Amino acid sequence: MKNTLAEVLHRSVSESLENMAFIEARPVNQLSCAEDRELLAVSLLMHEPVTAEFRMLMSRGLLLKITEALFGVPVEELEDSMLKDAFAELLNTIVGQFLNQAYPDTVYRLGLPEEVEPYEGLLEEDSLSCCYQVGEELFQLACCGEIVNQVVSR
Amino acid sequence: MMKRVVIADDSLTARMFVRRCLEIVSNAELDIIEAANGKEALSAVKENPADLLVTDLNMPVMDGQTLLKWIKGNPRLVDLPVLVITSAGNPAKEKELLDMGAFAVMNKPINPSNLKDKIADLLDRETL
Repeated sequence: MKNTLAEVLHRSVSESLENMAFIEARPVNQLSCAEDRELLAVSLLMHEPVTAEFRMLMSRGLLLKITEALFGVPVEELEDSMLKDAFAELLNTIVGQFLNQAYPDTVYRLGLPEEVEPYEGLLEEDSLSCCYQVGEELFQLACCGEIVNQVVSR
Repeated sequence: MMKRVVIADDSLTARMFVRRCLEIVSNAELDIIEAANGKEALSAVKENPADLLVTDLNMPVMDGQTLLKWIKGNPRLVDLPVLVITSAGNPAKEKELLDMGAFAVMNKPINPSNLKDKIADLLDRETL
């Protein structure tokens, strides 16, 4: 049943990365990219019409690669603030794309993206988690909350 | 003549992206002012007349919808075209914003050629 939700998520990830950074991301059959050593995480809450948390986990190396493509400047010139901002904006864009497809007729309300600990408080039983491959690296996108069951049942 | 454009977005990445797109698609020389929230953008357009305001919706301090409301409620600013670029722009939200007086609403990630189409509409009215 979660396949529908996952398909919409896959499309949103793929379109966002391609349009923003000309980077191809494809879903892989893996639930977590936890084996990556230095993971960074950003979270975005949805408040209305249902509650949800979206969280993206990514290695610093992959985030550097994506930010380099976004800003068009060499890795050596990227500052930490640019990495964090790009990470937040990427999640914001992916979630927006996803919700515009899941809730085309409903005005929804989101919070602001914030940096979080990768797995702290996330892994609820009723969550959806997908992994994506960019080159040789993986990143993970998870969502939990009322939205998981609601979107599936629409 | 140089045109003045204000970009309001709390994301540096998004501002850079919009700036780059505007520079690509516009034939006019642009004076681009960046603001990190609606309040900063409102100050910028009150201080110096602008030809276009491009704003995000979801921002701290003052969000884009509140900014739009302030602008459309101010007789000095009411004619300023406001282009909303947002990740939270489904058809329901788009209608709400257009009813409030937004010139156009575009979804992130923006496509430069779509932006050009929107700006071309504006060109007819504002020679941007």
